[in-house]
Amino acid sequence: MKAVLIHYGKLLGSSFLLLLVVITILFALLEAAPGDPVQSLVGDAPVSEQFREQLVAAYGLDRSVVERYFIYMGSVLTGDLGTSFTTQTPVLDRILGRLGNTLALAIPATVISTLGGIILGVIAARTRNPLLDTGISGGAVGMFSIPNFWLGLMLIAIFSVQLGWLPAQGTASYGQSGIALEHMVLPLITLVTSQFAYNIRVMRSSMIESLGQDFVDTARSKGLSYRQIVWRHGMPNAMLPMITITGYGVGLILAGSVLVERVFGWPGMGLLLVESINNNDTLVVLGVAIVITVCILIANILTDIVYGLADPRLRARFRPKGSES
Amino acid sequence: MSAEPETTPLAKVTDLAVNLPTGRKQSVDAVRHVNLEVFAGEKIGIIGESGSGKSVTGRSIAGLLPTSPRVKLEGSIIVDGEEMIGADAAAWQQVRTHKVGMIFQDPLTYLNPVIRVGRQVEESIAPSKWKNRDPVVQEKSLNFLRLAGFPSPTEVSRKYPHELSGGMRQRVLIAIAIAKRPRLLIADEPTTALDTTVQKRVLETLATTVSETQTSLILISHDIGVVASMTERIYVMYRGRVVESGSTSQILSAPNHPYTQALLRSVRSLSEPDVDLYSIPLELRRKLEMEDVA
Amino acid sequence: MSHGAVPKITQTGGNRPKQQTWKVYLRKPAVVIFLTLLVIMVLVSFIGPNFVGSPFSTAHAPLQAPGGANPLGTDHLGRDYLARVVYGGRTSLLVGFTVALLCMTVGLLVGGLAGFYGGVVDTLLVKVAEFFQVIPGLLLALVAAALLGSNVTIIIGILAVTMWPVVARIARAEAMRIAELGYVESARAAGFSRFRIFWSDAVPNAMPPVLVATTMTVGLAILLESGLAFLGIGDANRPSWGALLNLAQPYITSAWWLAAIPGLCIFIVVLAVNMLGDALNDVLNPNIGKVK
Repeated sequence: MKAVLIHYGKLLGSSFLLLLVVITILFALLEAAPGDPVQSLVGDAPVSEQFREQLVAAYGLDRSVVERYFIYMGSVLTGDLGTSFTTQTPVLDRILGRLGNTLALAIPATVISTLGGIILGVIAARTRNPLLDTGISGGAVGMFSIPNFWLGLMLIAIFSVQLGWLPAQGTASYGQSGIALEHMVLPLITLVTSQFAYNIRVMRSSMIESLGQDFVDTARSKGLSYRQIVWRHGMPNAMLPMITITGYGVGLILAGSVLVERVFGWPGMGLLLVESINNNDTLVVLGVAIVITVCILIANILTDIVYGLADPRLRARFRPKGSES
Repeated sequence: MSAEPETTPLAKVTDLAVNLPTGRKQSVDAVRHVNLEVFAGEKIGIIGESGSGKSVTGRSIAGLLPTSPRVKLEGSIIVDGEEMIGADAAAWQQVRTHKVGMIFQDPLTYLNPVIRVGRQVEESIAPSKWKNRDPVVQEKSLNFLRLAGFPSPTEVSRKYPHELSGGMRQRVLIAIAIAKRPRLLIADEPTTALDTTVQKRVLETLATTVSETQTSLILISHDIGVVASMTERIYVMYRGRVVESGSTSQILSAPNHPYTQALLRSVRSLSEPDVDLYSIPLELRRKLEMEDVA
Repeated sequence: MSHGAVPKITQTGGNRPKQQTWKVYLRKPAVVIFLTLLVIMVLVSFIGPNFVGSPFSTAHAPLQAPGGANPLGTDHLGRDYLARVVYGGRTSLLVGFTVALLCMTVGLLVGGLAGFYGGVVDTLLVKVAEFFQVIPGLLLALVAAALLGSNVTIIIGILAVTMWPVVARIARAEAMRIAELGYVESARAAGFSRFRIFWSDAVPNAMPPVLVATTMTVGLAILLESGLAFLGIGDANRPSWGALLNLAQPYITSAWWLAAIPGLCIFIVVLAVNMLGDALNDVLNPNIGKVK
């Protein structure tokens, strides 16, 4: 019990540390950015002398780098991401307003890519038909070689422009609010593809490895059928690496959603990031990066909890393979 | 000596040859023209150095060779009156479910790390009752764990393999193997991975469970001492062949084959102070290899 | 004929099996196909610019369909699209290969030394690699490029910084394996310096898996660069395939080929590189008969 508490304590600690590192990197980039620091904070907007002084005081631009670093760190950690100059509203509010739309794509994308990857990966691993295996594995390489934004554009060209079956832009028809299902189809396909392909590959090799383990011989000696061996003994062990991969996959899907939201005009965090980059609304850019990082860290903590539930040897993975004493 | 009159053997291997793939195009003749039989209730041993084909022979009888189509089997394996070479998967499954059990060398890797021990024993008793667990089966599995030397089986059945010591894991493997009440138990180096002190106790457990359940035993080991204390007859294997077989006492006291003589001498040189350290000479190996080719 | 699979321990003549590995590799049908494709794309991108017209001249009618005077049509400003695609390929491939080369060099050195010597550097490398595994490179590259500006050098630098740990991790694992082998100790006892052993044994042994990782890096770098360029973050003077896609998006309804062609080019190159890496991995780690 104690070991478990220590483990989760360490996990929380390292996640927090990771967040600090990201904030530090962002601060360093901000410092390294060329040009007038005030202008790079507010972007292209004209700055009145009064506003400039206000900013200089607020961000401590008259102080030393070290002091500025701690001021920035302190305000970020207390949830103050600054004010967006384009809308003059708090950055955090703008981002949280978009978070729901991003998650509306990212969560189903994670679920679909994981489940689909597991199913096809298992099929590829256990089939005795080499053509089917090569087909699935090769198809997976093909899928993660497609630039996902280009896939999105082509899907629009085919299904929206040529065939007129599905809408190309936004979350719902013009003037409607909320998210319409038919608006989700193309963005989801686009977002899912590469992670789905990656998961197939991981699941396939993980299942093959799992079915090559010695305990499979024990299962065979009990007189189990191949099916029973695959599902009872192969699966639970093959799933362990899948859980870790799904955790990392959330990060990749969130990053990928920046491109997908841009292609489909999907008003999520990613599109906000792109708009803010174009408007030089630096604080929003940094804010989105921080919020995405937090989402990724939460996903990782959840992954770790699931892993702990799935693998009774919670601590065994911190040792090199097979060195259990 | 077995009390039963010797009629038909429980398992009979005739002229068995096994070819295993070792690489993209290479393969190796792991077992060549092996004859072997074991009667009901009998305990026999197979000794030989690593690579002698003893494990492959054992696995052939249990139907646990790799499933690759490149594995080639020839000859005859008759288990309980049924010819198993060329038999279909269902027939093999029948043999594995009811007739032949196997105990493996490395007790950690041969247990599923994410399934509780009790469940792994239950699965051996009733493979089909996986989803809805049967209390009767659970009770039975506790009995088998007790038989395998656990005084408080309930506690053990709730543990995962990594929570047990090496000796305990090996006992669990024994419980799994006997839980389906097989006619024949094949133990492949069951104590090699264990400490000497634990080894002794596990062997005692194996001996008592086998005699209590009246199961035939094929004990495979490179350790002559282990085999001698447990078996009635011994087969000596070298380079994929049986070079000598006979009653345990005869093999130990008057070995005929030069390889067996050398093997016994090298073992004695380790344990008896008045015998000089001895290892099987290269000339003998060369000579045996020449005979093999001829 | 030798029966037992006796591994030949050859310190000096270790080239023979290596040559055979390459032979097996180059004979695979997938390798032949995708290597040819890749070579064609590379030749077109690096020699092609000498044969096509200017990618900036607006002398033609805008939005012409492929065929006729302009084999790939023209863009919205009347620029020859073939020239733009060929020049764009040069930028995309330059970024992809340069990033991969940087990652390979840095990854091999840092990962190899960390794995071979252990210690603080090793701990640090593990942490850094873990960091980049959790935080996606695209996100960091996006923010960094947005703040630092975006000429080709900066993009290459940013991508290399986010991507080298993958290669380093693989080099580290291999170097660790080598360092634990007995002969390193005996070579040291014989008076060879540890660094020399690192250089003559650890590095060559780590090379095959590092090469696999590097090929994958080429593909990923091209994908990331085109993603950034698609978002408008790229060198305006040297538009890559991704930048062409960015410009093509508004015309997706009227001139779909403007988007189709550069995207297809990215896809072909990345697919070829990934397939080659995959086949290399298969040759280096054959896993036959592993399923029981």
